[in-house]
Amino acid sequence: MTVRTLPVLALAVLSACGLGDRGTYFKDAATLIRSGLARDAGPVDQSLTLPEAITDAVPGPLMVGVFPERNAKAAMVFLGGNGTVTSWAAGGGITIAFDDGVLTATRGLGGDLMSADLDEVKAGLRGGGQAVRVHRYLDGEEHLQARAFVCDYSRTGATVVEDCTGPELGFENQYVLDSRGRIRESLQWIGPQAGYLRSAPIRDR
Amino acid sequence: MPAAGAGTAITNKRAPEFDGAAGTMNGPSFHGHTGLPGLTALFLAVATPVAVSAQAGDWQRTPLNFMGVPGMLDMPTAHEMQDADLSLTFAGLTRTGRNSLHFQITPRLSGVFRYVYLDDYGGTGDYYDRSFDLRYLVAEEGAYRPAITVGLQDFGGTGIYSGEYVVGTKTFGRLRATAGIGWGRFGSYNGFTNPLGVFRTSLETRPAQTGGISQTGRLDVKHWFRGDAALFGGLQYQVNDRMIVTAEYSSDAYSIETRRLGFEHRSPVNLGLSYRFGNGLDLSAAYLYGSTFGLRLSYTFNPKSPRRVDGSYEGGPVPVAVRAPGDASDLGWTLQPDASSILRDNVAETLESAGLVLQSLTVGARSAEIRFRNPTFPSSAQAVGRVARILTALLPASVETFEIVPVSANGTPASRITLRRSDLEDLEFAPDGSWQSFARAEITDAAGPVPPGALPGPAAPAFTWGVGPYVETTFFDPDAPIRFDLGVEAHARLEPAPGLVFSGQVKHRLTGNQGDLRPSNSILPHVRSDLNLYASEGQTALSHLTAAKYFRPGENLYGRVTVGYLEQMYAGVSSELLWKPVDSRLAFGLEANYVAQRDFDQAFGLRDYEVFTGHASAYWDGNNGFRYQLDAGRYLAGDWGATLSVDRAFDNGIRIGAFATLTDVSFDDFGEGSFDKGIRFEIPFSALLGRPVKGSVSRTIRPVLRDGGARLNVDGRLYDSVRDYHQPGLQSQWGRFWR
Repeated sequence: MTVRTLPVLALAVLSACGLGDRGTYFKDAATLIRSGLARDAGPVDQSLTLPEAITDAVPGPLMVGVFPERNAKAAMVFLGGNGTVTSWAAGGGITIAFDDGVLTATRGLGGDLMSADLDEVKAGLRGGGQAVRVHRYLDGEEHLQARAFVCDYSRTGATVVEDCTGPELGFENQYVLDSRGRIRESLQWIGPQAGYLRSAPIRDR
Repeated sequence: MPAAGAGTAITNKRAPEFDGAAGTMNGPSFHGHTGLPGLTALFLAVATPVAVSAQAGDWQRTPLNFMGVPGMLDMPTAHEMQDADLSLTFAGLTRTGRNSLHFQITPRLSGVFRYVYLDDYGGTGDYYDRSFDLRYLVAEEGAYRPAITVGLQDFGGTGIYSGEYVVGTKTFGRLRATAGIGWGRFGSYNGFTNPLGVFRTSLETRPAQTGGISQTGRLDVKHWFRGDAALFGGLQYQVNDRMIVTAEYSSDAYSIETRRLGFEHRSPVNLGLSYRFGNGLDLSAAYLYGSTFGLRLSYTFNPKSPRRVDGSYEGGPVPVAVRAPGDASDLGWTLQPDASSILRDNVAETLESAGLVLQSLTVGARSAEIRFRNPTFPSSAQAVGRVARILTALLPASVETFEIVPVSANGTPASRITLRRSDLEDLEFAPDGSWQSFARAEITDAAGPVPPGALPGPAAPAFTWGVGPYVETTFFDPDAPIRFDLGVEAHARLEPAPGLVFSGQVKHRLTGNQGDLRPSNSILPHVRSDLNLYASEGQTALSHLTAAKYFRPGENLYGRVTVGYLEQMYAGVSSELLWKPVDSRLAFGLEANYVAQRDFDQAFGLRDYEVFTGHASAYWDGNNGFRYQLDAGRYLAGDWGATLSVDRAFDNGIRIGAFATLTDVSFDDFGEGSFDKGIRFEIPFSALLGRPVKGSVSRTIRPVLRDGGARLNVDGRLYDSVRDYHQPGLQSQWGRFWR
């Protein structure tokens, strides 16, 4: 983090109140400093595959996710299900939830998709036409703000393109369906600050 | 009923842990777009803002002037900053440095605190001047009507900058034109007889500034809009999104500066250029009064959006564990004798890994009560949401009702939030799950004993300690604008039972110059103004050493008794009672203290000054983000009076406010400043970083600290420790329940 972090670090150093008790004192200081340092790694391999060392080490259902804007790639481990929604852990505490394969929530990325209204989207993916999709995000005051989009669907072979337009922003998602119409591979928009997620299943069980 | 069999037995298990379970090959890097592949770059292009970019003539942020208010160069304009904008301005011209803090209190009302340095003022040495302004936008700009603002500059200071104005500004695409009429300093160049004189001829003369420093701090009401008036105006042209050129005609004659600083006023016309950087910084350069160059740098920050990326980076919650149909009727586990203690251990451990602390757990066949403390999450609703999800993962399926009782940091239960487990299962991914879950939650008072059968968690007894650096600052001493002491402190806290707290802190000063503050000339008992003696004699000081009991005397009531060395300057007994219904925006408090002044060396000795001091308080939590507090009672010097505080509190924890105290001490007896007043702010690190980091920067800034209207500084006052867990506080943060 650049300009905004510098005053924070200065304030932290100058703060008259101790930051906290032993243990957390140094942990907090370390967190402050870490978050002030840019971590630039080289470009990550963005293919939707995982090395065998990882697929062998993790039991159970497994996905791979690529966050292009963050130059990051993660194995996503199955966490649990609730109705049609499945939750996945992408490492570092980040969690991703899909509703029948359509991205419905993220946590831990910053600028997270808090919830999504996807009823019409799921119909649109099956049958085409138009759908309204509503996303909710936290704003700087920790209030939920809804953003609505109108989406059009077009299918070419196994690929469905979802073209969404909102009052300020637009985005385009892509889904590759299998023979039974389920979403396999996809490129889906999380939000204006978190960017896109590209994901594919590695192992179903 | 089935016996406790293999399928239903309570065993040691934890909610799923996933930190590090998945092999992230390259930890999400929040920086550096390293070579986006073509396909993605294409989609990114689609996602760029369509209508957000500034168009010609779109004045996104009002420029600030050299006085730190929205304006041209030295003269004000009528538009205001965006709501809640906080702007810090440093401006320099001949032998003058002006530092201003401008806060857009509401969309129409704004306030300024200004601290000006005048170099070798009239041969009497350097001079520091403090002043406050208020501005009110009377009319917004319309299709034909200009924006109109009334301003009071330096309405209660030493009067160097004292002046009033009415100004109008109209936008014509890239051009903004301003015209205004001013009094006082704004009426000093090319002035004419006050037109308001038609109402009353006495308005035509402005009373002379009298009395010098002892008169400071009063409201100069009898000066406002009196004496000669003059016209001012100017043009601002927006060359592009970032650059503005300005020409203004100033009605300020700079008479004081001409007399005392050798300033040369050769022309009323000022010319300037300002440039806006993308990060809140704004720089301008100007040629002023035909004789001097000036520079201005401003930084604007909006507490409503303190971070570039909203939301936060801490790990996600464990998902809600959904029960299989029919499981809820299985009560076999209730026959297992050690079920409760195993559940308690499981919950305690999982809570701890989530950054929370279990105080007690009571599990029945159909419902469970959990009491916990939240040392981690700035958002109370987020902590409650995390506890709820952990319970879905760990409690037997038959437990349908969760009663979640957050316990304040001092050990008193703050409220009871009752949730239905099936609601959690239904709403976890509901599009409007946040509001629906709030609507279905029941928030009630949590007074009364812990239910029978409760098993304690590791919250108490608790012992914590720490060692760290500290800085203490004093502002606005006439000889040095900022003084500070720097040293190390050590503190320890023991809570043998919930609500019983022993606490102490020792400080050792390594270096500093607070001890060089001017000795007090106060004619009141020196209840606060001997800070220089406390600082110089207390190199190693006992900051506080107290025993405190926090308790719930009854429904809606909270109590505190603290005895010992309460603060730097006082020791004694402090007691407090707070009435705060869980769903109320109104609260009342009573505080009674009997204290003796401590020795300057801040060891165990006491001085020969004892006083009974206390207040009745009313708190009002406005639903527009403003919080009001009125305290009336007896202050440390034995004076009687009242304090009004108003804070604008943002739901991310940032607070900005002001307070003023009037007591039966006369303005003359009070001395410089006339009465106690100041501004204060608090900025939690979490609001700036987007991570649940403890700690905050908070400061109270008084133009001058004297002995009238002074209050005891005792730790653990009750109101703030409960308000976040009551219905208004939880409601404003509920967007984080599912975070």
